Amino acid sequence: MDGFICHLKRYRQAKGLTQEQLAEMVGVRRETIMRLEKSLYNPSLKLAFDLSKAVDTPIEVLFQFESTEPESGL
Amino acid sequence: MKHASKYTRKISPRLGLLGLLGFLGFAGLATYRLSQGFFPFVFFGFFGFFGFYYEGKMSATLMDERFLQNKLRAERKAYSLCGGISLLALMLTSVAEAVWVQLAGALALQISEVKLMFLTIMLALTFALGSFLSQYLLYHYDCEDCSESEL
Repeated sequence: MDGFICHLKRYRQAKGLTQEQLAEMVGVRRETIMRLEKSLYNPSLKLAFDLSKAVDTPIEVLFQFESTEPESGL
Repeated sequence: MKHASKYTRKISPRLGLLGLLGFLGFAGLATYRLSQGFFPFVFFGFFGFFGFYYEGKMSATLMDERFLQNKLRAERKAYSLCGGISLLALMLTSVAEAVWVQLAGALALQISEVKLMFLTIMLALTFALGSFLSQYLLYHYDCEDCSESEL
């Protein structure tokens, strides 16, 4: 796993929320939301799940991971 | 969605001035001459109070998961550095005997006294470094891009 892309900003703005409001909804600081939107912070599953619920967007749409590992054919 | 919020304790950055008490450690030089006691060298540990400055700057901050991660990262780095310095100080006291003999001769003291003094000072300073660095690094990691704002 090399990195990830976070589309939180787009969906937050579509929902009409500010960073501050979203941060309060999911129980983190605004700085954490800011770093998340810049894909500089890899959130826990719990936070990712809370964010996904807050902006009504599936978790796999919000976060996209760039995998370098070969995919198994299972 | 309600979360049990936890905030850092509320203290003033001015408490960092307590770090100046660390200079009391130099009293050890005087007390040693007067009564052969070097207990005041442990006061060098008070230099660690300078960390209150950074703790005060982050006072009443919500401790979210990123904060806790940064805290662990800062403490790991600070304490591993302090552990390394302590180990180095211990190794230095057990090797390089020739250096200790020369140093004891120059200070007109016994080797064991010089070693004990060195260890006391090193441990106090290491404690101070650990206390300060853990707070400083936490502030540094947490505020990497505090100045930027984007709503």
